Amino acid sequence: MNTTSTQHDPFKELMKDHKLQQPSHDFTHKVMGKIQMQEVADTGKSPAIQPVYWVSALILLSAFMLSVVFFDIPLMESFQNIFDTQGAAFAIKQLKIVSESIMVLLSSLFGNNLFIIVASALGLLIGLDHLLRGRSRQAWVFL
Amino acid sequence: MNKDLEYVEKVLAGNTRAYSYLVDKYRNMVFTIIVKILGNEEDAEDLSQEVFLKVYKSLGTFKRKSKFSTWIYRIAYNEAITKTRKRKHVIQGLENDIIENYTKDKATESLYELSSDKQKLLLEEVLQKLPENGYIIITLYYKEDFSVKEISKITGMSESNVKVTLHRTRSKMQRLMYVLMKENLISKEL
Repeated sequence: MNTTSTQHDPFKELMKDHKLQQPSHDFTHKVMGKIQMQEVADTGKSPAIQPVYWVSALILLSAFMLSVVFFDIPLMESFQNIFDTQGAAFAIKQLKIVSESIMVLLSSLFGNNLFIIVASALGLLIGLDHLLRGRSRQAWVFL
Repeated sequence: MNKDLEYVEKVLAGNTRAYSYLVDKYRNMVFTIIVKILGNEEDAEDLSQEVFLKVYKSLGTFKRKSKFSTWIYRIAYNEAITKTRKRKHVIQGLENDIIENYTKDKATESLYELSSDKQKLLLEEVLQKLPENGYIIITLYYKEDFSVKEISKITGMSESNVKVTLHRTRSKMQRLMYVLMKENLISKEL
């Protein structure tokens, strides 16, 4: 008995056209989504969003540091005028300490090269700000 | 290198997106195996997704001794069987639909008299009536071009059992075709 022979087998050709059952149209998308979620759960972070995450964090930190530095010049008086206490000045000093700590943290995280780049960019911006406000002496110190 | 293996290597190297190629390629057969065993499309959809997740997680353990398709279909088959808890390694017995005066030649002869469209319609009707194991084995054998040895690996049945099931399912298909063709003729006459 040759059970596997397909010679003169009427089903051989017919079965080629048989359509298999299909899952939902977005099946692959669902599977890939589940895999991604699983990876996030396993590693605590998604490799796909990691660069975006770090760039966003850097932009936010830079914005924070810049705002702290600029607070010192144009807004400090406003703060003192508004609250008329030494509290505002104290708060700004604290913010500066925090920003310095973040800079140190950044340099330890990314190495000195990135630290130098960020610090240079900050120095340039602060210098330009001084220059625009007509404080050329302070501006040159930063530039 | 085989294209499937190429994609397996890509996924193992960290390119998660490469896995979508394998999902796209095998989703229909995996779903067909599972839906046939579970008998419910919703459950089959969920289990098929779980199978692809399981395959993704255990991709590192794929030993490349067999084809990737054999490996994935075996996982799908086992998962579906486990889910229904009705491991059927027993050869499906033929049902009591044997018609008197039937001969294979008669059925085949009559089949060739039909147009190819009608043959296909008839085949679809016959496939619907097959028991799950018979359908899966026939589909793997004819549609996916798997050998008896590979089907044996997928289903866990012995090679001789696969051969016997294949033979009996084919005979059953021929008989069913003959019955359906006769019914068709009678209804036309009426």
